[in-house]
Amino acid sequence: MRLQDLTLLVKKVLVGAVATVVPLLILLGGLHLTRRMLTDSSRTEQVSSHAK
Amino acid sequence: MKMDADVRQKIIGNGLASLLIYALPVALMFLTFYLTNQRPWQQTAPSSVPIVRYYQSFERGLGPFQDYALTVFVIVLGILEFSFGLYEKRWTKTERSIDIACFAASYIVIRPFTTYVGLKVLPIVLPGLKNLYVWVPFLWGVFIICIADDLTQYWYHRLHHQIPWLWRFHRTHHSAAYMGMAMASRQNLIYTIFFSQIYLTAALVYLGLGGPALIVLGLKGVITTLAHSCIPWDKPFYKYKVLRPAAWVLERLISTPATHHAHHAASTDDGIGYYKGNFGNMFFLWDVIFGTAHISREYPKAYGISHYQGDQWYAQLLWPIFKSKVEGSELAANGPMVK
Repeated sequence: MRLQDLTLLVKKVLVGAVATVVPLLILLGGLHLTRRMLTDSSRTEQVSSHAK
Repeated sequence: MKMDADVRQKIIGNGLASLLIYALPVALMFLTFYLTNQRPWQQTAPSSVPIVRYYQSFERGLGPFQDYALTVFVIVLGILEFSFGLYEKRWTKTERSIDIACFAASYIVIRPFTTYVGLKVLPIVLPGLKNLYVWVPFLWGVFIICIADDLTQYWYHRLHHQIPWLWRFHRTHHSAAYMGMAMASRQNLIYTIFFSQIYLTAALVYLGLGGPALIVLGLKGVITTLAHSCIPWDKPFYKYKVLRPAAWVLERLISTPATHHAHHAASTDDGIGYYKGNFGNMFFLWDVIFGTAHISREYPKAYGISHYQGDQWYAQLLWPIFKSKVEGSELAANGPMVK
């Protein structure tokens, strides 16, 4: 194995890492936002119904 | 060898569209929760879905064989293919060695390595996030993993075909002059060990989506093995008029022998072979969406790589660590980067 093979391997691993991390971040962000936004909206609804 | 400008442009455009597709199941789940006022993370016990109960009883029924169900399926299919003589005389000693080495490596190297990553590395990379999203309802989890896992594999596969310097890591999968169940695991070990979707799905399991992942991976294993098999199980769908509407849906939704064999064809000249597309693994839908699909409902006459001369099994398994001794081969020490 030569230096250029090692460079090729590193480049390949980087491409693979990007293909893993990008969708993972989208899903993590989406699931986090789902919970946060819907929890906030149900709290707001509860507060407004108590106020009445 | 450089990538064509139009290929590069298509990769960028399709890649950006994929970001939206990844977000789609979560967006639909959000909308459903919003409209139906569901807040599953507030429930103390997870809701029970009939399919989960059926799956759990099926799993119990398998007993100690539950971990090996897919392996047994693959071996039985292999025996069927072999006993019908479907490999003809093309399963030479070199090809046999490669198929067996790749099949064994996936159990001896890949599984222990990915299990190690799942158990030891993820708690370090994603500290405190274990089971954070265990509240995701089962069927939504299946939907999320179906898209996340298979779309990632589509991209990983497509990039290894369309980026010239990546092709040689995937060449082993295409070098055989025959099709069969062994093709599904016939890969260069470095290609398999850095499979992006394995680590993405492992992370989703760590986050609490283990149950859905089991179902999706089982389904995917069966579909991809059957798509590589030399048993043309999809033929009746094209032959009988009554089945044609189902065939139209099936061939656009999942990989079938006709579409996937076209991807393994030795030539594109006959209008059947299409190794420049049909990259889908479980779902063929990605090829339809991104314009890389070719559907002919026929099977190629010849498979493999036209200039292949039988590189040694160790070079095909572990290039670039080991090089081929075949002069002029893409896997040789000073081999050309052909694609």
